[in-house]
Amino acid sequence: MRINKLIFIIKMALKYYYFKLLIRYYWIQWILPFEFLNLFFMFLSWYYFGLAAGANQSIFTKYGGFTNFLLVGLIVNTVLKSSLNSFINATNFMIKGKVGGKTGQAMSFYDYCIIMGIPISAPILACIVDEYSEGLIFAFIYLIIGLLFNFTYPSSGILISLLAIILGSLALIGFSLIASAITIHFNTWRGGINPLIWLLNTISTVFSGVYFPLEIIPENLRAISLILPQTYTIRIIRYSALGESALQNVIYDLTILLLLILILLPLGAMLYLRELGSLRKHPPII
Amino acid sequence: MSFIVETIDLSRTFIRYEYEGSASVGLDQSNNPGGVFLYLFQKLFKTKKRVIYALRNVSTRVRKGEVVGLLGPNGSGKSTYLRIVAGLLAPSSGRVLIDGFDIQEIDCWKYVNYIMGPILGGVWLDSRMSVYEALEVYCKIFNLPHSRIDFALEVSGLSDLRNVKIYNLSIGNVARLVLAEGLLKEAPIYLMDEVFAGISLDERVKMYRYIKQIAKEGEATFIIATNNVWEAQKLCDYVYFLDKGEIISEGRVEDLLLKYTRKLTIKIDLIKRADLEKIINEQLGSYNLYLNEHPDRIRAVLFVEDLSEELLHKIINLKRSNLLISINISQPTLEDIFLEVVEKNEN
Repeated sequence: MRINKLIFIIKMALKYYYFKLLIRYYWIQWILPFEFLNLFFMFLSWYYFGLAAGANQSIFTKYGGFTNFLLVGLIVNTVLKSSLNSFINATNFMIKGKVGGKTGQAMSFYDYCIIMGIPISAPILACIVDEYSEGLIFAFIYLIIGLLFNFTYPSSGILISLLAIILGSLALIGFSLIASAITIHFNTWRGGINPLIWLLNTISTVFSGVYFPLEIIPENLRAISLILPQTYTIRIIRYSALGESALQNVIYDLTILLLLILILLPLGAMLYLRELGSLRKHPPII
Repeated sequence: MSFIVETIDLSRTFIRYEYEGSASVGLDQSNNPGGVFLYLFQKLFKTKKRVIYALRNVSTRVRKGEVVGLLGPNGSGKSTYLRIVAGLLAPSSGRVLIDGFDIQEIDCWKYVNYIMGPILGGVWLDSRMSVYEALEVYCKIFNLPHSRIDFALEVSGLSDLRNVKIYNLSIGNVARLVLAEGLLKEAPIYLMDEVFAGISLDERVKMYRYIKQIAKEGEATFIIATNNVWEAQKLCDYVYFLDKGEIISEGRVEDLLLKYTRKLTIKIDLIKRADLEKIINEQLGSYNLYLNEHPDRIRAVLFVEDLSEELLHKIINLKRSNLLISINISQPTLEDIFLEVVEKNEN
């Protein structure tokens, strides 16, 4: 019985993914090519700014050069951002009113699922897959840009890097679940800023080591980076990029990531399920 | 006699916070239980907590194969009622029984289809799809049988437009598409929320015929929320008048008409003048009277048992004062009854 339900959910999730792709059709045609150029020019501006600041003879050399440092940071950050946005975007998609009119007692996708007897886990799963598709497309674009700038990565570090990305993603999914519970509880889907996502996005730009090494941040401020799963994930991947992914180098970061997962995932899942359960009592619409 | 839908003392409240002596700020505590910001806001701006009844002790009974109308002005609780029966919203108190079972204990979606009209309902896909393609995708994403597409196209009058792209549809045809989307799910109970808005009269009449036929054959039961009284008169077997979340009158349409046809409706159009209201009150104030103001005239609507000599004299007086534009005497329609009932409730 449970297996049948699971198969049904996966089948429906595939259909919703197809539905999201239909919406994406416009995105692929009219947004992606420009997004590619946007990413390229953004990379160029960081790259030349770094060179102007003397980056190629500085602290970056110990990370395999400025280009490698920047590209590793951007690629990993793009995938991790998908994890942070996964549940929050899925939740917004579910409870917002119809596309084009979000006022009044408009029907939401969540309402349609109830009327049609579809488990809401199916569209949520589809939205998450869709979110990761976008993140991976962007990461791939950065890789292509990297090829133009002689980006190199040792094949021996790929496995540990993948593990780090998976663990970092799981921890950030925990944050995403907590943020989604906040969204439902405080109705931030109505257009307000989700405080948790805002905070994580804002501080991770500076304190997770995406664009510059954490060593150059004053020591007392560096403590902020300790709450960010991105910090540990990116550090493991940087070690791997240098061919230094031996267990003793990465064990500390892996342990912290595991601890974050153990705390954030169950807490997030509990809060999210609780808020989903109250949607009929305190509906998003009305 | 068993009922396919029965609601018992159904109530739904919302809590709003209002500035003291000012308009409502629309903060809804039921959506923000224990919110810190809300608490601070309340303390800071001295807001007043107010409980709003979207529905208050509403008890209804619907028989299988009936077309039941929920009539009421905007914000009277029609949509809230339908959303509760559809299982989209939990009531604050009261019960909903479907085919004798409490909706808490059954899979409500197997019995009920809730269709919201074009203003706030509808799933929008790429408008470069044709009508048929859009319905096909709708079936796919909501796990509905494709075999219903032709039926939905026929009832909504879109059969001839099946290959037309959505961006080429008129507003009325988009409204029909939303209705067609709603009809793709087959269910014993259809809850329709302002679904005919924007659809032309001739098409609406055809749809009414379909709905009545389906109901007559006992294949489905319809509960229709509308503020179009003419529509309710044409379509419904039984109507509930709702106002401010309460049922203020109910009955079979023909019974209501029979009850009120002992009366006459007199509509008198008068030229607008500064002292007109005073004159009307002097002449007609003793009657059951409602005034409708128009830019150039005032319409006085009277409900009387018969056309007495005294009333005729008073109308002649108005004519002599050169105030009378036109006069219309008729038996009341459901619309007249609706206006009277709502007006009485206001008073």
